[in-house]
Amino acid sequence: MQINNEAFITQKTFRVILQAMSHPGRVYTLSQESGVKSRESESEGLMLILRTLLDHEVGFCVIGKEKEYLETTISELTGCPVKDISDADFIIVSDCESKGEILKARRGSLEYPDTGATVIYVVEFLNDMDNGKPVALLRGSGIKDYITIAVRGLGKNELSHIKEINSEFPLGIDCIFIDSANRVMCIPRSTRIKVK
Amino acid sequence: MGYVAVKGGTEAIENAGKLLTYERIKGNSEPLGVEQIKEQLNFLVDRVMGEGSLYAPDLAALAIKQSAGDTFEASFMLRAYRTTLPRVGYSIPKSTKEMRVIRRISAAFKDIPGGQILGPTSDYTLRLLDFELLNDSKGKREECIRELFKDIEPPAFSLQPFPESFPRVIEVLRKEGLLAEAVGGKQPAVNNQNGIFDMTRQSLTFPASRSAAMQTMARGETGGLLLLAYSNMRGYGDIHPTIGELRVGYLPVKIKHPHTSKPYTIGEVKVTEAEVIAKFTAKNKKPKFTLGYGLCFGHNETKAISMAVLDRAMQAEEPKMASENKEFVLSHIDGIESMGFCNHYKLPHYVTFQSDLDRLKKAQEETRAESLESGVRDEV
Amino acid sequence: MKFREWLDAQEHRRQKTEAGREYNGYNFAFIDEGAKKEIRRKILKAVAIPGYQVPFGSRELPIARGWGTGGIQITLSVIGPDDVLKVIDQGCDGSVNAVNIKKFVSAVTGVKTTTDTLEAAVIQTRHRIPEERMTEGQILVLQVPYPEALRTVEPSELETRRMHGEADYSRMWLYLFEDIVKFKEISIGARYPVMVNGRYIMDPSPIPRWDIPKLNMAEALFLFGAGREKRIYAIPPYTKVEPLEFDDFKFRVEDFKGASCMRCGKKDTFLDEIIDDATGSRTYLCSDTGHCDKVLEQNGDGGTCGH
Repeated sequence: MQINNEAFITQKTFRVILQAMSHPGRVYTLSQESGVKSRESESEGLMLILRTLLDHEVGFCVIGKEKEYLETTISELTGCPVKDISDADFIIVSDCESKGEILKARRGSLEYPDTGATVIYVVEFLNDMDNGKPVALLRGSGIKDYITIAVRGLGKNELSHIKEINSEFPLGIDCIFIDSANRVMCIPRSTRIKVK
Repeated sequence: MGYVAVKGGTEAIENAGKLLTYERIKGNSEPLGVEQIKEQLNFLVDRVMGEGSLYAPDLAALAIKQSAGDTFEASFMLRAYRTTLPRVGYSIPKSTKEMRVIRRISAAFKDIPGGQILGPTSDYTLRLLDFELLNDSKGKREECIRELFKDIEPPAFSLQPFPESFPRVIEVLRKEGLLAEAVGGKQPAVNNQNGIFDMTRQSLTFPASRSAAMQTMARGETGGLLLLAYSNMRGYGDIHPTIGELRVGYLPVKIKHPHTSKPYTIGEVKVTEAEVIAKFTAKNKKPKFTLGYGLCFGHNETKAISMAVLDRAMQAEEPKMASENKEFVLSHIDGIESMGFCNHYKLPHYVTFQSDLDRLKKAQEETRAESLESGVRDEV
Repeated sequence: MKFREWLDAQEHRRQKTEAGREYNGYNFAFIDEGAKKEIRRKILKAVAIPGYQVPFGSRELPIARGWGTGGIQITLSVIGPDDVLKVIDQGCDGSVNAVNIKKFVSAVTGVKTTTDTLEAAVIQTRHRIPEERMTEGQILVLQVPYPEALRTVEPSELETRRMHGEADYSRMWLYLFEDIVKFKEISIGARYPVMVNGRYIMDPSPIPRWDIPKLNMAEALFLFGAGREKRIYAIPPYTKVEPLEFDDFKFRVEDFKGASCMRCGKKDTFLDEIIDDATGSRTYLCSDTGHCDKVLEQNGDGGTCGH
């Protein structure tokens, strides 16, 4: 068999995301180097996730700083076409907050809720507490009792937006957060959020 | 002992495979050449290519040899091989006007533009066993071919040049405004990529688009398609088809040249195309004929006509019969899937059966009945 | 190009199907990376919407539809070179089908295999959940023949989609009620429908009722793959999974009436019933052979899987 490096990198990355999606609120670390980082502003972890999940069969868009630059880079890297926010399978929030744009994301239909978008937030730092304080408390599938999270840098209304979008389960979006230390945390639509 | 799991089976599986080969090779006759299969069992090769959804006569012939003529197994091998091939690109959609026709008939009109061409068909042969074939030989074949072409002048000297392309019969109807363009039925918006559904990449969901339906039927099992189409023809449905045109021939396959982007012909595929004209609708006030379309790999008229009939049947606005129900038709015509599932019942089901036994015993205790005729839920 | 020439050019990617298989030229884990990407995206959606069936573009494998192709596609999409794999059919590591799948996956990935439930990172199974409780980080991949629990009451996919969408499950409850009227018991043996996370009715695959409680608030992740029907669904860890039941007609697991495994002596496992051809007498053996071996070993008998 061919030992294909890309195949191994994406497999490892996928397994971390899968664990994170299965355990909402828990922080996991992506262990490998992505090798593609042409600008300091680019998140290495983000590129790992995108290489693992994006291709020409889905569409994406970027909200936030360096929108055009990132859209071009990502499209070239993955072959994934850029789409309008209301039609994108993946939405990348490059600057910690969407300023309400995220409310336009696709939420899926009752028959096919899986067509709801996946949103990837690039944030500063992920933890269970920040300065001794959590920003939110999560409950739901994948969480034993409850878990607290702290997302440094995330826009203050962002969690409320997500909560609003996901208020009509099974419709909604599934969120992946990636921080500057290549750490990842997920909030799928099945998670109930209590903002502190 | 009774029902326990079949274990330690590694050696047994390998020996079973060897025995299967032995059954194919144990006779005294000459080994069957792939070339022979390709050239002399052409209908079988065509069928396997269609159901295996890979146009590769040599590989299909190999699969037929390896599977000892089991069409399900042969198509399956072709389909499994197909998945491992990289996708290089998409061909450019082309009108079948460009078909290099070897057979072309219409049941709707006696005279059609370009004329009827009977071509190779068994339609008017007497199905009598030809015992002469028992003494087949190369010499006899050559003689037969000489006999066949002896009175035919080479095309260069014939009076009428062979036309480059044939106008389609239904175009005549279309020009006169007798044809309804798209018949009702719900057209879904979901799961469309670049306007055309790709059933090798996407999961069929319902309501299915027409392109999804066409692709599913094109790789469907001939017998399965025929069964459903026949049910409609007999009366479980009422589209009353007339064959507007049936064509067999070779279609050029064109792709965009990767550098120049100009169309570039990479080869041709033999196909059978059927267009059936069916009962008219009165939608939008003016009554018009409706159309059903079928196209499949190789020379397989039964399949193309069945496809066309089902295509039309599935456009029913209020499906009542099995053949009119898109979900029913498209979910049950794939030979590879249905064959696989049918045969999986040979796998052990000890656990589910144990579970059912427990329920049955309990139910018997509860009802104190002597025996129960039914009630055990069919399980996998 | 002539067929022979073409074939020779394909030499590097030819599959040898006879004994001593080689898979040179095939991608790691057989299916191409594009297909894996799609399956991975669908798995994440399945985890995000517990119990909901996500459609996926199921690929053909050299193994027949209905023989575990959904499970295999999931396993091939999640597994990595460092993982340890266990495959069981009817609870048994050594059954023909399990051996076949294990050989295939291990040949195209090079992963190590085990019969020990707790040692495996990924377990693929048909019809059983191992007796030993799996732990966090482990993945159980279940092969599914019929992904739709509502198919018993409604043949149309369009309609069952609507029923799931609106959580309109009245017909399922009516079915159970009528069953009780007829048999004074819920007659469903294996494949007992469950409610996942209080929202979706789900088919747990044809596991016995014995295994249903193991799905509830489990530590491991359950992934379900139906290759022929082209559906993937999931139960994340710590998710409420309840069998459908009435207050006065409770769900019950299989009753072995105090029988024990004649090999390891356990009374608290799912048992295979063995009928002696000559005497007609009944004896029992553990269905989970890996666990049975472990118990024997712990008892100091050091047996191997052999029944």
